[in-house]
Amino acid sequence: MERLIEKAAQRGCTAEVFSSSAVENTVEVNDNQLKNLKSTDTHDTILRVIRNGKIGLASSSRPNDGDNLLKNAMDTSEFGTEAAFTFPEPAKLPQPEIYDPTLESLSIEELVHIATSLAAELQKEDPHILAFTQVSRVYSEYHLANTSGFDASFKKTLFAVVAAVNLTEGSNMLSIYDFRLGTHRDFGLAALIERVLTDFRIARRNVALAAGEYPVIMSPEAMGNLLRPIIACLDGRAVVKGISPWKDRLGEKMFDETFSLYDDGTIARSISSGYFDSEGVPMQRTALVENGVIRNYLLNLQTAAQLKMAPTGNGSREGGNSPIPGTTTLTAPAGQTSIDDMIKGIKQGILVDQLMGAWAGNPYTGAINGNIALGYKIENGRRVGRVKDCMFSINAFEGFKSQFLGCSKELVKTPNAVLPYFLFDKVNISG
Amino acid sequence: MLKETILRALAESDVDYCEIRLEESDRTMISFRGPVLESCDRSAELGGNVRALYKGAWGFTSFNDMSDLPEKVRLACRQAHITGTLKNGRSQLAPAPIVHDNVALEVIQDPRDVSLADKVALLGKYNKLMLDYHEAIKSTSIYYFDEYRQITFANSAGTYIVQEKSDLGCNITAIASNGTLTTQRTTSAGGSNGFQVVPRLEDAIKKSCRIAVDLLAAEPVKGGQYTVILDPDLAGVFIHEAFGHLSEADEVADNENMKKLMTLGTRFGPEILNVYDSGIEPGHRGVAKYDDEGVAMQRTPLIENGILVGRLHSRESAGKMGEKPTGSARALNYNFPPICRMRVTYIEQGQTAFEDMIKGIPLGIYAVGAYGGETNGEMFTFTAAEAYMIRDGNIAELVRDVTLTGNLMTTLKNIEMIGNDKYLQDSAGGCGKGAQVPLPTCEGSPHIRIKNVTIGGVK
Repeated sequence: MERLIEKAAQRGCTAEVFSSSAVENTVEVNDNQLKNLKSTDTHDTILRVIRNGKIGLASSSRPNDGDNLLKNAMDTSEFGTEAAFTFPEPAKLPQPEIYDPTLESLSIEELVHIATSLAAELQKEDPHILAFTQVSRVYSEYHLANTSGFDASFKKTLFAVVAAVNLTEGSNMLSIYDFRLGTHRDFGLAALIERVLTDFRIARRNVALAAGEYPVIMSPEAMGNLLRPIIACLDGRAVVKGISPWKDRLGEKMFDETFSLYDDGTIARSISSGYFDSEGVPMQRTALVENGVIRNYLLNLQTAAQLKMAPTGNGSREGGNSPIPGTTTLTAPAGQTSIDDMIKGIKQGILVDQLMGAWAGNPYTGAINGNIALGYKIENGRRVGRVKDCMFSINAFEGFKSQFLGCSKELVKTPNAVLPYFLFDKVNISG
Repeated sequence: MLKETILRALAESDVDYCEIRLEESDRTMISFRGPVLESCDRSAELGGNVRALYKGAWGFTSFNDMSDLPEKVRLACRQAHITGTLKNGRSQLAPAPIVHDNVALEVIQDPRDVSLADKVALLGKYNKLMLDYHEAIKSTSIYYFDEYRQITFANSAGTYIVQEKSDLGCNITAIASNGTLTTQRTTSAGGSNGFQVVPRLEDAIKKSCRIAVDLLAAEPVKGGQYTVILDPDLAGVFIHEAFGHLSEADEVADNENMKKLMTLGTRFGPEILNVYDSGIEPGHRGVAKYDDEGVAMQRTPLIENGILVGRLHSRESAGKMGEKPTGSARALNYNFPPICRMRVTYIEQGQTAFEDMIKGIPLGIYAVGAYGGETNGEMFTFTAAEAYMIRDGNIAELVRDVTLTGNLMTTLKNIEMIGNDKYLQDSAGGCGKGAQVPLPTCEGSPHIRIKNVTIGGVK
């Protein structure tokens, strides 16, 4: 890595090398059968250069591919975008707890045992259900060095358990799943099974729902769909391009004052936490919306420099090699009410657990339309059954302004967020 | 040299079945955002996997370090022994012919022969065309990639295939804004046989620019139930989401109730409905000579005259169901085992002219172009890129934010008419199943008319 940076420097570039490696073991039980035991051992190196003010970038998973990387990075720099930034210097880094050394002692046989015994527990519920479980353990390592003297690395572990039951009866298909996900081994597996089976028992009964407006509780997982337009508008690229409606509107109150949203790359045991982002910027907690006021954008080095602001540690290489602004862990403050009391307070309403297709569409209008893939009708303070074949519609911008009623006191970990349940009033349901 | 190493490693496997898949790929990506070239990257991949089946269960290992292939085979076999000895799995493979083949690239204009400078110049020209089109076009987004891949596949039964593939996709988006509302419309191209699909898109791009600008003045659609006409692009996404995924047999093979629901011979749609999934449509994304289990791709009838006649099989799903593999076992890349996937999915051409389709609809929606879709096996949704109200048999005003939803079991039966204008649409997008996304696929259809479709929307 050092040699590659030296070589790039000799060719008149400033440069950055980001390398990552991961070793993963996964056990899969599908349709009640122990289906597969997988292991992967992967690594990847990305070289980014700035030559004559322009960015060049190349990546490779081939071992010792330095010369090829350098050639490709130099080639692409001919056409590269103008770099508005310089590579960051060494900085004090946060060190959130994201590595669990005890995961190493967990044998493959134990992973198999967890997956198969969870599946066996789920199957006890009903002979007709099909159980799916998955247990994964991942060790990953990230190293970044650049010509400004930054040279740091960190290790991270991940432990994930997924439990699901499927039941097909006639043309009715029901699938309930839940998961435990974090950087550390989690022993709350009995609660996981309990949650899946409780939901299964309620959702097994389909109930009719007339089209109309209802109070709706959104699960932390379904909330990802409602936050998507907000994240799209806070994305530094949309701000630079002028397509975000919130360009030049930092400090303005846009939403109900009880709504706050943070991006936090330093939460202990969250799988999206780290010491630095994929450009060497320290991870941080960033207020995006605080008491209804837009506070910050999500910025990588390039967009921060273009907007003459400080980067927010959101340089992400998810889905490509060039760093773009991306969230780490989204989080919102817990409310006062328990989820049980929230349900108890609703005479006629819906709890939406999963939305489908709500990610599609133009995020900048705020319009969210999704099929309620898994939702429960609430009647007189109780979940009474599953609602299906209906569409959930809300405008996220309006929703957080005039329909938002509050959050649960429970916070739930999803793959990229730690969020409470959210309650909205007068949500339109068609079907 | 490599071949000998592979064959020797396979010969040492101590399982019921073992395969090695090695991939080498080179990819170029170019993106524009607004007036500037946002990124221009090249990536090179070298990786492989070994999959081993022992007493009904699998061991799988993937890696970038190719230095010790025999050890990778031993690792996959060891994993298969751990799972297999628990006697909990029922995986078995349908027989497949032993193949020895070397499939050279068949392209009209190899993307690798077009210089990076020429690619950037062409996309830059498109970008400028959009930015200059209208003052309301405030920004743009272009995503282009091309990829060359060489895959070596060998299994313990004696199959040895080296296959070269080309893949390319391009999405060109015009973004209009009036300060409070931002709208967009995308022009797409893609294919498996060369760069020639990228030039000469000017007319389509100008049309997208016009729609993006017009959408600024459009009102959101009112939610409710409508008769809808889908254009070929959106109807392709509809059949992919509303039926294609259900025909992937790995979701059926171990589920007794699903097997009943999906019994061949069951009526799924009206007499006029014919649906195919094909791996032999030249030039489209998702097409290849062999799938990732070394089985020859084919054109698989799924629905004929409204009746379920087939499904998409891997060797494993076919083995479990006593049917034949269809060349549908596909893996995103070397990090994944192959699973049942679509290739080019389409509704076959029908008889009805567009004018006859729209005639007689008092209030409906004409939905054009796809923004994406999703299914959970039972219900599906998809979002239109542009849509118009139909009033008294005529196309009326443009509306926005049109998302359609339905139940797989009822919506296909609600297809009333199928057009005489089939078209297959490639794009830079791809299909997702589990973690394997985006896999190159293509969809298409003629115009179709469906009754009682639920459309979301706030009041």
